[in-house]
Amino acid sequence: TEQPVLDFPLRTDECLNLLMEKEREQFVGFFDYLNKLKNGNLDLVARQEAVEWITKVHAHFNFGPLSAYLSINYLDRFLAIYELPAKSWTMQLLAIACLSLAAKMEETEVPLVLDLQVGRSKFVFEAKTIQKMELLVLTTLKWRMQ
Amino acid sequence: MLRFHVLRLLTMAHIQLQYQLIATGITKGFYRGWSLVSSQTVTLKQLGFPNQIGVPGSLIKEITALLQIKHPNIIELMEVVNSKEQTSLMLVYEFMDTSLTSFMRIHPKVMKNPQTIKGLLRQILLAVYHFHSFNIVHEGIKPKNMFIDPATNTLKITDFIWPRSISNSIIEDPYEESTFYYKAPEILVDKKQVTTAVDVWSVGCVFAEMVTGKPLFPAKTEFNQLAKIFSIMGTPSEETWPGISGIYPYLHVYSNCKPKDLRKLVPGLEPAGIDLLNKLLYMDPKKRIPAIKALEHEYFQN
Repeated sequence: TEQPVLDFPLRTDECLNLLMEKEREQFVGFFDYLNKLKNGNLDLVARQEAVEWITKVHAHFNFGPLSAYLSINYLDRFLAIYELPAKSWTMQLLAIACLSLAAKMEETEVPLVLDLQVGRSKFVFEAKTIQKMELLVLTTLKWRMQ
Repeated sequence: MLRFHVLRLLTMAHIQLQYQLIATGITKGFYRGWSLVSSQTVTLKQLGFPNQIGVPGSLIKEITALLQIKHPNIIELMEVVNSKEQTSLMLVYEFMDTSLTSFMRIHPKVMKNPQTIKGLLRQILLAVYHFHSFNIVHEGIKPKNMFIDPATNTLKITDFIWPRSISNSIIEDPYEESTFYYKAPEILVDKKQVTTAVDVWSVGCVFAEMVTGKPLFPAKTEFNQLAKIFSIMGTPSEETWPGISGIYPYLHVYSNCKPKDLRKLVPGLEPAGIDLLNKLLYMDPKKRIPAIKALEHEYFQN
């Protein structure tokens, strides 16, 4: 069963419209991205795995709903603009960086980046590598992280 | 795009010294740069961080907020550039070169005009209020961090990202020197007592300094700063500052000073100004006037 990511109450339609407006504004290349996903130019399975990994780790640390939403928002926005080399580890690294950034924006207690890599991941990355990825995500998203 | 030119210039800087350190005394980590695209001078600040923790969360929050903050009295953070090795960041700001400190020195006559001071204080408070409405505590308000365009008397505060978050952890605060003149008593007592009120205190200090040309609380060391404040504003007690003995058990060490008359210490300031100054420098941060209320004060009515 799938849990809705946005399970916090939205007070009014106006509020929802505002959020959607903001997302549309931030999401550069949204329609191209949808097409890419549809045509299989982008590995839908890899993206799905990344989202699942984020959801799992998110639950492990009891993070709030907004940081789940943000991580996936960063992930999609990044994939829409940036051409990741088609290797399976790149998507995993991106997922870690996105979750780490979202946690830093939203959570009061943030584990060390190294400790985010819980569970049986195929790849384990050094802190240095994750930091570089964080910076790449920040720059690619033009520091629009809210 | 600005980015590539800045990077290119930085690479060149090593060879050709395209960059001069800004010669206003605040030098560490700051560069003056020239954007080839927009043909304007910019201020560059380099930030490095160790890689055990990733990009510090507080830094991300601040940069995110500061890129959104646009205010005529705050120096604009134009862009954030990564170094090629992705180990440091370069912040690109609009450039201004006359700090309030040098302005006061260069134009003592202009500063004699009460309307000039009123105009500058208003701009400072507008900027501080803007920071506070974004829930950002500046924590480094002082004359050296304010820049003035002498042609229009427009004042802009820099944020120059060093607030708490960073200075607390890893990166050395380039401003440490003499910042303590402007530090509020509650953070001298306990670093954790940071609220927006600490900025209001600093504004009060700057206000007095604009009138007299001298710092109001010039202690020799940070250790003596609290005693200096007490000697002028009076040693606080549970009556004047409820809760003080809880956060600072060493009050009894200080001699019991009576508050001095600010009219004598800041001569030439009109009565409404003295009243506002007293409210900005209220010892108990809970009763100190908020920036927005200060802007509505009688002092600004004429």
